[in-house]
Amino acid sequence: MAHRRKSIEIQRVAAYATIAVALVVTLFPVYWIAANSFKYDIDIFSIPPQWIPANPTLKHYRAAFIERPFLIYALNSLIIAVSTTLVSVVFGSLAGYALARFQYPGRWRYQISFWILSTRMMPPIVTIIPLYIAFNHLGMLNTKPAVIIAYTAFNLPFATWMMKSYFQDLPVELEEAAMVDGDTRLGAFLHVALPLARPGLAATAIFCLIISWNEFLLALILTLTERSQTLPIGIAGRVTQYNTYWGEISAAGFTACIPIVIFAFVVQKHLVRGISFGAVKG
Amino acid sequence: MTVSAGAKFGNSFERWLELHLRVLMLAPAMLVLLTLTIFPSIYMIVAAVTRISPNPDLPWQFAGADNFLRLLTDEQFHVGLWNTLLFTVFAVSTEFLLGLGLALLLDRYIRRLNFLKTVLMLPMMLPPVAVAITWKLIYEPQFGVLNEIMFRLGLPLQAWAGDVRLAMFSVIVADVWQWTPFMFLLMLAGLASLPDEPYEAAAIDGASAWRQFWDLTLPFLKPIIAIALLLRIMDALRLFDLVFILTGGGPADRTKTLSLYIYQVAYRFADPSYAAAISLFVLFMTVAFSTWFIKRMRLAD
Amino acid sequence: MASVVFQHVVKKFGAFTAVSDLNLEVRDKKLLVLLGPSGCGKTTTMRMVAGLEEVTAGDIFIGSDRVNGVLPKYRDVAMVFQSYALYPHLSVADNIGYPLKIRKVPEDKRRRMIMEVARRVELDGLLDRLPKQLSGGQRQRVALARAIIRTPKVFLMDEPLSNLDAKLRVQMRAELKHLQHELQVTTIYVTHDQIEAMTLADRVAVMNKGVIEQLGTPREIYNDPRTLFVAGFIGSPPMNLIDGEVKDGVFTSPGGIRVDGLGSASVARAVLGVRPEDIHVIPAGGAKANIAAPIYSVELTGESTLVTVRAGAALLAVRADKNFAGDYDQIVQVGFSPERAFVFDRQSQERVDF
Repeated sequence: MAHRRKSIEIQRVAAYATIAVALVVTLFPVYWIAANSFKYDIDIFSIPPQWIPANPTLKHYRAAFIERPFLIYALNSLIIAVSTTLVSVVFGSLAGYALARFQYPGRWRYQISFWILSTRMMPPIVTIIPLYIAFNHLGMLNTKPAVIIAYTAFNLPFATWMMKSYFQDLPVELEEAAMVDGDTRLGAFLHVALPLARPGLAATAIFCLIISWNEFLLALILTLTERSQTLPIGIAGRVTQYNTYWGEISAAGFTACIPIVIFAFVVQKHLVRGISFGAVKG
Repeated sequence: MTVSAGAKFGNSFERWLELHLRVLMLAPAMLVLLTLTIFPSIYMIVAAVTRISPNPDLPWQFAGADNFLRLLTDEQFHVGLWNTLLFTVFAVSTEFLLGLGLALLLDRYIRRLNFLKTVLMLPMMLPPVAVAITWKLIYEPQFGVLNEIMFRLGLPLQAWAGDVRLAMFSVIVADVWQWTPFMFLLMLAGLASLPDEPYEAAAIDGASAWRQFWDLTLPFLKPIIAIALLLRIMDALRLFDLVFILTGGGPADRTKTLSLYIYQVAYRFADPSYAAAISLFVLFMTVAFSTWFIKRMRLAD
Repeated sequence: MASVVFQHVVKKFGAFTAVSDLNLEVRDKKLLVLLGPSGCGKTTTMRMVAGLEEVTAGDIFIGSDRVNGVLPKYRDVAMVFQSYALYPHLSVADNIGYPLKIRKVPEDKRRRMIMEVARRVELDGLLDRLPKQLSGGQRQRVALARAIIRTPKVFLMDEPLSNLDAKLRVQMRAELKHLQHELQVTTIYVTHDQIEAMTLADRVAVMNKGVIEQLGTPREIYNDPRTLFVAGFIGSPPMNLIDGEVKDGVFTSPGGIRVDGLGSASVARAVLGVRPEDIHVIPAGGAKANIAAPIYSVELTGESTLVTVRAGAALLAVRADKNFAGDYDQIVQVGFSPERAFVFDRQSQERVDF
């Protein structure tokens, strides 16, 4: 018995050790980009590496956000992410509710749902060329609305499916009670279903925000001017063939991570449920 | 209380709204998706069977299957396809095994620790661009951290992402870092939903932990494993951001993926027709694979 | 106030017919119970009155208005759901006041009415709570309060007591009955619980497979079941139903039961029905025993003893005196008066009069 207990102890220690290693591996790269963003160039290039910045400086942040237009990039990213999220959540909730609650002839409910999901399977590289040409024709290249429209198409299938599952989980009697109490169907949706689906709205919104904030390929192709580009594109722009501005991209890269990290901890409950849920049900 | 019949049964707008609510609620999402998927799809098909001149004033010429036939002989395309498959197989399987292992550990020894979960999930939420430059920094041959570690361990220094032999490996490691958390999270969710009774029964029957894993855990997790793999594979097949910044497809095209190649063909070589043909190939490949996979895993139900 | 009338109402879900050719009148200010097993169409019938389901064919009238296709909000009905369907995000007061809020009743008047109704159902102290902070009985009261706050034309109650524990159910049943009497509102009450139906109803409609098997007062339904289904469904413990044959007014079963005096009826495949309380244990030597059979089980229920005897393959339940004593396999004689027995035709499921 004692022998058995000892082997369980060893297992436990090994497990904790593995988890500790996983944590270090997970966190070190994030730490490293942060550390480098606060170092002078000479310290970035030092051999051996300087594990902790010896002379911390905000030089690169100043360079990126004051001398170079990273503030504009960040602002663009923010505007685009928020607008995309708003549109996706509104349209997604409407469609999700319609798919969750109404009657359809034959297998239409299934067909429509599946079609919406299948649009998400299309690799973005496939749709990006025609989008580029269309926006070019419409004179919308290098504008935020173009990026927002493209991102909405990208986010909507997910938002619709997620909201559909949330609405399906709500007891239908609540809306029926509202209708008998004197509401229209639309009123029941607005007064009862929507307030109750708030966790779903939050999870969906978080997802759309993260995806839009991070997106790279569509923005790369639809925006070419400094005034219209987003943070990821701005960062990539500082990795040139001839030179990589390490300090600057570290500062900008770390800045791009900060809202996500804060976000992740503020809304962790929704996040865990959202990811597992989106993948399991969608 | 008496009221006129019209007021009693609602005005005509209200009735109309109620009758058409289904369509009205679906319409915005459907319209956006239709415009942004149907139009591009038609365009891609048309473009793929024509020859588009870089001069926008010249008319398109019908090219039949020419663009598709080029796929057969285009070595760069073959390299891109090979790299994409190589990357997908190794990256996704590593992510799966690591994610499952970590999930089993955490599920067993540390339960209900949302904070730890959130920390371990961070990489998948960070902007891929930031991830790419972080790893670029780590792989840097002269002052990168990785070579410092190699040096301390007395191992030969490497060029990593810049080395012909190690470039793909480097890309895979960075991707594994970013996406193992996704697998981990899904597996954890799956494990959390396992019923207790079969394990209690198995323990009473004297099944070892190993047997319980094979006979109970894996079969229970199968649907969620299948979905996780499917989602990751579909994502891996379209890898772009990471290689675009980390290696630019090099060295010697060793990390050039199909997405990157399409980008180059369309924008650097200004050949949208051929880019359309490759895109359709990628689309076909993705759809064919996922259909097969969904059928194979019986995910449809 | 209004009556509710169904004329040739049909409801189909795809190929499945939930309600077929329903004709029924719920009289003004009366309480009608729709009673039947699950899936018999009773809830669908009620939901068609509320407007939550549309009729496939036929007409429904509330008062003098034909309400086919009328939105629920214009039907002026109130419904109590089985799950109560309280709005979880609203306080008790807001739940009760919701129908008024939708109808844009001014705030102060609304508050006054909420207070009044809350006092009536004894919720006055709980108005600020959320539904999840209430007990089952309190939730039930909130649902009731929400229904009665605006004195609708018709109350619809869908198994409103089925989620309560047994003791509370009896108490709420009495309250419901009193409330309906006080408010004088036409009520349709759906339940599968025959005791509820018997105690509450002015009239009961027993439904089975989308059809009304019998409509009548509780007493008629109990004392005068017209079909085999009604006979078997009403009563607890249920009526004994014994297969056999009736020839010239004499019933015989394979298990050895014999009943004389059934008029001059003849039915080839007959079912004899007799309620347990109408059968008596006859002291040894008594004359009119219908069968002598071994005891299968003896259950003391308190006010009486339920004795089950084995009559061939069939079991016969007998309600005996509470002081009855008997052992397993002991042979007892049981008998009943032929006037208390019913004869049904197995073929048509209808009762045969004699």
